[in-house]
Amino acid sequence: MKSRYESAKDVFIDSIDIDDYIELSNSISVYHQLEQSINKPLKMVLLFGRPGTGKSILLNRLQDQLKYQKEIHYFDAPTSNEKEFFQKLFKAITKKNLPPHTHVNFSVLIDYCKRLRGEREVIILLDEAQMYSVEMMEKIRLISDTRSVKFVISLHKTEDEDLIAKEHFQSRIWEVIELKNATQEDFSTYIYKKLLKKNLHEIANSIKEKDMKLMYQFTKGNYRECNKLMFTIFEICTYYDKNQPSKINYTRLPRKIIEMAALKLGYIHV
Amino acid sequence: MSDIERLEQQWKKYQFKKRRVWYILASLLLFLAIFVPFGKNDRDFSNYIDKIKNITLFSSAQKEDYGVSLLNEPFTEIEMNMEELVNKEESEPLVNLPILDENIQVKKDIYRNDTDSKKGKVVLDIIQTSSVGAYKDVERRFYQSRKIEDALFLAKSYYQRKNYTKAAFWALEANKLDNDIEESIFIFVKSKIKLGQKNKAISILKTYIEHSNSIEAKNLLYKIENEASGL
Repeated sequence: MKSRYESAKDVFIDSIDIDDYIELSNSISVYHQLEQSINKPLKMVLLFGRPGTGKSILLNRLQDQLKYQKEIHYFDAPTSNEKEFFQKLFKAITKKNLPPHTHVNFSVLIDYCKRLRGEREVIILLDEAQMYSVEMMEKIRLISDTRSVKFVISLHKTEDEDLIAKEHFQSRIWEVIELKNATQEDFSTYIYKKLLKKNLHEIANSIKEKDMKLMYQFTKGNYRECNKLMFTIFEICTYYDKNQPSKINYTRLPRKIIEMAALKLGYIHV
Repeated sequence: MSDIERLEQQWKKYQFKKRRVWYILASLLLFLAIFVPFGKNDRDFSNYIDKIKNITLFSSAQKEDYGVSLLNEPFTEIEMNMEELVNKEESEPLVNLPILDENIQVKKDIYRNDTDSKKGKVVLDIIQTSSVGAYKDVERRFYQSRKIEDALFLAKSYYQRKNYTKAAFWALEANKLDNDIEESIFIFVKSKIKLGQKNKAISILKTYIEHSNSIEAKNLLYKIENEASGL
């Protein structure tokens, strides 16, 4: 017999599926900022934040919402192979597949983009851009200079702020949007909404405010860490539900289980 | 879950460790609460104990009056000491003027002492205090209101306190809001130099000069490149 907690566990599998998008105060505000930036005459927009703050899913959401109004393309996994990257870009800009056994001539592509100026605007959402080489970023910058292709670049916030500072100071036409970890309120809303979306009302009600505060302390509001913690909590609950149901309180999630999950994930050390 | 038993053992250890710390803390607090207010002056302590004992010798009506004044005594003393302490702190200015160079002045702004809980805004009274909490308050306010003055204030103040990492961070925040404000760039550059990143600082300053052709920036660059020390 399937435990009720197995469905709850599956809710928190880490993914950037657009169906899993949850509207929160901070993400709504950042989304609107992104939308407005796209409409400004900027060549490039920088979206940065720590891993697990929701950059990828936000870009997905942007593409999903605007795909019928604008020419907008989402490039997820960065390719280290320059040839593959420009093939994808070629297809996005020209709307044609590159013939087999051919490669993109960069200067011809630039000329093509210049001719498009004023007629079309193509928006490319580049995720995980910290993985692109310096040379590729330079070429991306040259393409953006044609003003017919706009890039929204998402990358991890680095400890060395100089990277961002240098880029920011070098070109004043960047817009920089930072995604931070969730507030306590957003964190709680995120968990509740995720569970309610799958009709897991009882389980959602069994998580009290104090428990939310404790989980927030462990994860510091990071969505990825939250998913990991919740998955582990429900994994433990599933085990107890099947093997030792006396250790489960269906009306209130036991603090013991939250702490056990935190121990397993290394948030607590003994 | 194959490791549930191991997890349970770990949890028991964790509980024991957690409670042990609380027991020790509770004992310490109790000790401090009873003995520290009377400090080295055992006479005051024994006087206090005697006075408490003497309450029982009075009638009920008298007892109440005497009880109130007794209780007030030590607290009044403490309040007076607190007043002196606050007054002493307020006489020491947070920031010495001028901070960085002749051209930069710190604004001695006086903010309304008011909290508007309905709007969720916090307006602070940060006239002069050496409390670290004041910085945190300004930082909190910045994240709500995104006022460039707050970011600049923090950048300058941290620079003055020789916390160059934070000074650079807040200078960058100010610059993100308005990249026409030279002050933020100068503080950032000077902080980087203090952090031993002279080459990077010079590179950033040169880039800024290319875009702005600023005379002050050029002067600063000249100073950096030619002086051995002392910004």
